[in-house]
Amino acid sequence: MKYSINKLSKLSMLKISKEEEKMIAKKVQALGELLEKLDAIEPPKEAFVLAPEGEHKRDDVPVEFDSDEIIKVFNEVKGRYLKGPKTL
Amino acid sequence: MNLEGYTLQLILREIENGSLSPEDVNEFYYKRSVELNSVLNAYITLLEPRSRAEGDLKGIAIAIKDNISTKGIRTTCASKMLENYVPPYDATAVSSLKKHGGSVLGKTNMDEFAMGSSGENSAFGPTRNPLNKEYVTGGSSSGSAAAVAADMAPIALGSDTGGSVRAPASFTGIVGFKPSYGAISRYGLIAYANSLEVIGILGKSVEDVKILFKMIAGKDPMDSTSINVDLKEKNISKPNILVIKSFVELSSEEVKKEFYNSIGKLESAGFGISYVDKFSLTDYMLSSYYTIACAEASTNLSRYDGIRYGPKVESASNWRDYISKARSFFGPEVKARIMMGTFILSAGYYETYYLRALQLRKMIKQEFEKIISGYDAVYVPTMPVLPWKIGKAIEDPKIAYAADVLTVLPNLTGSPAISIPVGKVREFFVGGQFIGLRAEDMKVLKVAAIAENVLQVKKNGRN
Amino acid sequence: MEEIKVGLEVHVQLVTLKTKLFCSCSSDYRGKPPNTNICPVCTGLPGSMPTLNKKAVEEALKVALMLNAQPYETSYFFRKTYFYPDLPKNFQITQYDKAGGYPLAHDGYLKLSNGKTVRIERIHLEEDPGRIYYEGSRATARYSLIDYNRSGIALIEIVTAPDMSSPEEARDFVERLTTILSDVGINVKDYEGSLRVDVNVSYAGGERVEVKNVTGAASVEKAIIYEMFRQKTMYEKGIKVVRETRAWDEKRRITIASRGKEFEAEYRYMPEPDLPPVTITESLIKKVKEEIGGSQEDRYRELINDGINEELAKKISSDKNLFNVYEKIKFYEPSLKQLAANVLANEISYLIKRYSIKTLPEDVSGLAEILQNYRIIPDHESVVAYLKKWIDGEKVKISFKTVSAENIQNDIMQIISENYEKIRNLEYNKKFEFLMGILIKKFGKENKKVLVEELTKVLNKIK
Ligand SMILES: [Zn+2]
Repeated sequence: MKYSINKLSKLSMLKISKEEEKMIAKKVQALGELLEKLDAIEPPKEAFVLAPEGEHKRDDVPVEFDSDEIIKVFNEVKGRYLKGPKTL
Repeated sequence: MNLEGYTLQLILREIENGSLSPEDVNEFYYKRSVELNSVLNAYITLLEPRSRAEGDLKGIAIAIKDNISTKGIRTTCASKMLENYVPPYDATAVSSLKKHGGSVLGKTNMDEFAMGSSGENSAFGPTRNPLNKEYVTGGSSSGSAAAVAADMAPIALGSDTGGSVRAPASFTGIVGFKPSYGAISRYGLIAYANSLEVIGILGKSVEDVKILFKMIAGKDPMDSTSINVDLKEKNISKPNILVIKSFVELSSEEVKKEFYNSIGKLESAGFGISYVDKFSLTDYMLSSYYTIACAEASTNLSRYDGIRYGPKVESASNWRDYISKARSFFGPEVKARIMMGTFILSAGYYETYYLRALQLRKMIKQEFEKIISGYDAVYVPTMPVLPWKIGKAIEDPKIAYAADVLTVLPNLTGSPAISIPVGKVREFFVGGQFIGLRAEDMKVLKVAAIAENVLQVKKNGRN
Repeated sequence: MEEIKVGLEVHVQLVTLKTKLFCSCSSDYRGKPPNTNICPVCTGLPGSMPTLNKKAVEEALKVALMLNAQPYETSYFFRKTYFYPDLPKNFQITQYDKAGGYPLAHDGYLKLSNGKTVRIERIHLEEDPGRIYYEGSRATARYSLIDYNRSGIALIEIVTAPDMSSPEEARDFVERLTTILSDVGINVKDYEGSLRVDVNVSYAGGERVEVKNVTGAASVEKAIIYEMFRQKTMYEKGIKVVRETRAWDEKRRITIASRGKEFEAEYRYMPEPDLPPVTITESLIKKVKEEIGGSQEDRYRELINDGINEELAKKISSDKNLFNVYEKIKFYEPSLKQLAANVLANEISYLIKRYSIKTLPEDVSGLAEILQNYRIIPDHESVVAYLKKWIDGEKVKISFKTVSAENIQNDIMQIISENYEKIRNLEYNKKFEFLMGILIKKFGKENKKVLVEELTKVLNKIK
């Protein structure tokens, strides 16, 4: 199994400190060993899901949520805009 | 007043006949929790009682695992990432409890984002086992189990992704019920692995968890995967149960001995006991479980980037740097599982691991449905080992992963499963679980209630 | 000039919906103050879960059928992971045609004005992200401003094969698609930014370059022209075109290399566990087909099969309104279909244009009345006037004293014998005029047509 902790942390957008690195590597290693058994299985054509029976779709009827409650959750706002990092 | 050992059923009965008041009840649990929490670390947030005596629950306050959203009460998932997050809405299970007159006693400690089997992976420190505080409680619903076991709550909600309700119930000697997948709405349960998990109940007796289950079960328009399960009482007097020997054999000698001992007692009480030597996919259960769980977790946890909520990053060179810095607040277990999930889903590996894990899951479900047919429940130990000393699994993560081997099956199949104490070793208990077919929750509850009555492991309980 | 190949990914907002794709927030987000049209689901708050808008599936299915695509019986939603601040979960819920997934529909086509067929590979549902604004320019702004009002709006994505070979063809495709969409009520022209195209262009068999986010048919053409010349220049200089994503700058009318978002390779698709698969039943297809009345091609075929000539069939099949009326008349009185086709293609088409009529009446009994009495309506102007009455929803009753040809002949003979002396020496024309005067007085102007015919017959007989 080929993976580098460095590459995976980058792809996952995770910064990992020097102190954590060894512990995380150990955990990833242990999880990786569990995956190896899967080699014996034939992969299916279609994804398997525990689908519930019956209708599960929603009617197209608007319901308003008090958006002020969500603004309160936001870290930092300018007016009602959420302030985020610059994207360049 | 001392309510030690009181079941929810007894409390409700005494309130009904006037010998207890809801205020007294809430006061007792609150005071005891304040007192014991510094030792056991069961709660992340405790709330002063402020209930109105109404509804079926008479205003009684209940412990809620800290990954279940509570409006206006911070919900941390035991993570630095959500240390100050206050949800603007209640999880459906919480609003159902409130509708029945329940209230929130506090938010319980847990493994961060429900990732763990020991209760050690919390940013707020490990929960300690009331039976011996040097030992783990089991996880991830560690605080909910400890609170119920130590009489810091009459009953508690947890969540079960791969055993997270049953494992700590077993380690602390209480009852832990994982309902069928979808039987209780997950809306508001902060997702770790959506296709595996369900909100569960930890209580002092089978009757207690059943009381609460009936209040919060049912299809929810906000959760498309939720279902209605039959809530009618089942009429069984001599249950037929099936023991999977290959499961029992995975357990330690102490666990095995107590478990077989319990079978003897059940048999003499009229249980029909049958054995099957092998569940052929036993060796693959953990592979399927961890592959699916990590994959789902890695995408579920993508949203924590410090932009909308969560830790604010003061200086970052660009937006990617901002997000990476915010995400450094996850603990090591969470980081490891996110990275593993990223690996599993990355181009070229998806078919190798993820699709195969799904296929395995399907095969496991089919095999389970085949072997259980004709029986009321499958009966196996809950945990293959007794609680370990705090810190041991941090040294060797394989210990914690392997400890899930007997609990992941019902999550893979969507089955209801309930763990009850079935034996005692020193100060600890051995848990046994009854597993049924999906949607036959009332059947496993009935079988477990009969077994509980036969075994009488915790004679000090007052119900 | 070497050949270019163009493929399009067209994103269309389902503007006929009232709510977003996965939550009950209003779909009417334009012009609202920022972050007023949001809820826990479309801001990706922990614990929130998507629920699928039923109508969105039906609307998407309509478009798929109009584009001659085949719906899959079962399709899946997938998570497409990439980090960007406008995407609250850092994954987009979309549909995918690999990794064990199936989109809503596949293998359709659209015919261009020049007769060429453009293959449509797939059509799927997905959610729109939020929007990012900057104070001043993006380059100098110190932070971004995010508005999630648009987040979660329902989109369909239509993916074509690289079958277009000029900027004009691509423009024609978008224009024809726009017409088809308006046929099912999706009037993208009325909603700014509701149709956005990702354009894939490759020159002389080189690598394909994706130009993201081009709005409207005219800009699609311009972006391709620019890209064609940019790639041509590189080709002629011997510089290799690299596979990349570029952005269309509407103001400067150029494409620019885009930085920032992640690239294709690492989207880490996986099935969305919170949404059960979408099933498209035969009865749903039937229901939707009834609502849209099939594609133009289907309509044309039906008309030809009915024996309507090509010219009329072309005209009627191109307008769903006309075709619907044709179908109804055919059902009402099959013998009227040929005449109906004539009137629809001529007089009614004329009226639709002349008075900018949007819809024709559901009730065709008035039209049937006109058609049944067509022969006795004296002149063309009266026909048009009656048709206008029907279109305006007024009651149409044609109340001429109608007389059978046989009766008229008898009457004519009688009048001739009564006036024989007066007319015997008149020449034919005068004779005709004189008799006609009496007949009109007796039978009314409205019967003129029949009277002329019958009088001619009689006079020719007795000449
Ligand atoms: Zn919303």
